[in-house]
Amino acid sequence: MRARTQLARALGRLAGTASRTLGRGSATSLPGVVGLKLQPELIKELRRGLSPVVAVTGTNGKTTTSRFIGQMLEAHGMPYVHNQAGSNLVRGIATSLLQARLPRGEHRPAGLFEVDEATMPAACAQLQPDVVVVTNLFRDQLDRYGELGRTARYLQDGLATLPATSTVVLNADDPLVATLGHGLPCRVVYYGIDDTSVARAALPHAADSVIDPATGDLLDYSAVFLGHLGHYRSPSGRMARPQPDVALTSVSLDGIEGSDLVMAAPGHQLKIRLGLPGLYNAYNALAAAAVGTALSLEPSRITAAIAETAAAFGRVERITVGNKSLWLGLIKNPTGANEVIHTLALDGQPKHLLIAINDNFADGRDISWLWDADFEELLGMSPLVDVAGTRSADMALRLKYAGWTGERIHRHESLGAAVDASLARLEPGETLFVLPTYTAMLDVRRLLARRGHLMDYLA
Amino acid sequence: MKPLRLLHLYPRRMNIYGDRGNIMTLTRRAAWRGLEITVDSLDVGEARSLKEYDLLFFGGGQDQEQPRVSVDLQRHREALIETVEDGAALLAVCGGYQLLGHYYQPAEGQRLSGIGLFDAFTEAGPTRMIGNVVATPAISELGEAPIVGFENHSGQTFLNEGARALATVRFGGGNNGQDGTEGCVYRHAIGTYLHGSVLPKNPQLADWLLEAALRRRQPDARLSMLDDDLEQAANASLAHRFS
Repeated sequence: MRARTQLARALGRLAGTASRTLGRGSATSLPGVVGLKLQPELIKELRRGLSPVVAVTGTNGKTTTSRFIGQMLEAHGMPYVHNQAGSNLVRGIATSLLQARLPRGEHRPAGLFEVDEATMPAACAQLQPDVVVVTNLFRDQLDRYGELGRTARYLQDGLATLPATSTVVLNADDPLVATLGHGLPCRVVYYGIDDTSVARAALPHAADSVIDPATGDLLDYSAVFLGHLGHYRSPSGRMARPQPDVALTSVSLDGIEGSDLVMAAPGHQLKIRLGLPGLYNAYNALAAAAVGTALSLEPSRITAAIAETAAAFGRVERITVGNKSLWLGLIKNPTGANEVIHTLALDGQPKHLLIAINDNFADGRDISWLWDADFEELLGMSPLVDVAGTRSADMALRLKYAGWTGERIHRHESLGAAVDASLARLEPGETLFVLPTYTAMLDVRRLLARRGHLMDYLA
Repeated sequence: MKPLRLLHLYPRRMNIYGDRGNIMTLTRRAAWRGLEITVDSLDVGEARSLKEYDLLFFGGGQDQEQPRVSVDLQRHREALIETVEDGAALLAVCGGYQLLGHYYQPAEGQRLSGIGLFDAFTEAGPTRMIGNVVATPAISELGEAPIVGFENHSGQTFLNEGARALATVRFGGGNNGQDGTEGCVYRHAIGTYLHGSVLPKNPQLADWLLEAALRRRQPDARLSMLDDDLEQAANASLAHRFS
């Protein structure tokens, strides 16, 4: 390792230790910032100590898909370097690299990095991943990215820097993602759902309408699974869903418990019991399995790993609080929110709901998306809803227009008060279903940890 | 009285963020007063008799959708202007607002023709205006409560002499970040850059549009008051935070 890189690594680590010692928190990006200042080529240099390197990007499902892939690597006895939850920018990637032990010699660990969409050009150029997976492209935090077209361009620019030896794994059901495969010199592996029995009746309101960029025609759908994901074709026939290499040939949803999947890949078929709910997690599992196939991992271990994966930190999580439970389902954009809502509505059973909407930078400051999510679907199941967060007033208003009357909407000044009030209303054994945005989710977890309910809290 | 009729222009191409909230607000607020609204849509290549509509809505879209819409919109130019002159209410947000002006000049590529309903024009600016907005109504009929919302646009809209702004910006960018204006009003047509959605937390705007639509059918009609506690709380929450 070059001297400059070694120095950057040492100082970066020192910065991290100092920060923790001074009680400034987990410093998930300070080491990287320091290291990159000293050695701008840090990521390129340190990446040489890894094999293979996998990058995961897309609007929804990065963290959960990474979690599945991580489990698969472990099932194969492969240690890996991973950037911590939430630090998917260049500095976060750099931090994870310089804090990792990178032994010399043959047994290099793998690298598994979640990459924020706008960071893809820099991350791909510097990491030169062996496998890149793109999960989907949805409207998310429009105030950060401006528009979907721009986000797609970031991904395109990133993929263009890859060598021909890399593999790009793409969601065939997402026309915005599938087109990224055109003209790439590297191998492209497509994944998608073939079982149309889980398709919806029509393109949901929240779906981005997709046009064929060449003609401006709206795409026709013969099946819609989730948002704008489905089986599509432009009227001229010029643009159509590619045949997936790895496909779900059978999907049986089982409410909030999970689903049973049958997956077909070249040469084998996998039967998987997935412990995470909804179609959106079926897609995440499929994406991970497609990556596993690209890495030539063993099918039976892929299956086992997926079945064993517990939900990633906070995305979907069950927390025990005394003799009651808390179920957390992160929401951050209309399609993701609709999937969580739809999953909760599947069993038709009454549910106690707490919706916490923050508009901090990490949540997305523009909360207009609340009006595109179908909260109406929960009206019959939750006569009363508790609301909290910096934008609780907007959420309360959303619920009013969704059909809840004023006295059935309880708005709380603080999240702590909201959690307490909601839990107090539960009978022993009941579950409180919490739908938070990202920082509200962190707030809830921090609150519960302080009270001793969370074992694995990342301080 | 037969139901009020609302026309949603280009709903599949121009529905960038939360625009549905505006339609929801109009239909619910009408329903709470015992009035019915039916909603139709108009898409590229389709024909409608625009004059039969009392309310029109035109949302925001992504840059790549706008050229096709701009071309199709020209077919409806005269009918649209006539309908607004005849007293119909109209709300246009972001991209829709831009295309109802004289033109939109993007940073790259061809100028997109509007229809000149609003005496204004838009040119792509160097920076994107993204953030919360608090503004004071510039039209007395709209009352005194602040108008609040969230903007996200790089287009800068300039009102020609004589055109009326919707509001004066207290916090945020507004039409162009320079002259302190937000939106434009012509007859009972409102153009604005505000998302949020804009109508739910600005009930005075929603009711102004609804009452105009109603009066097109029954000139003496007045809308009854509603309990707007939650609307006002959402409005105040933003107004206090950003002033």
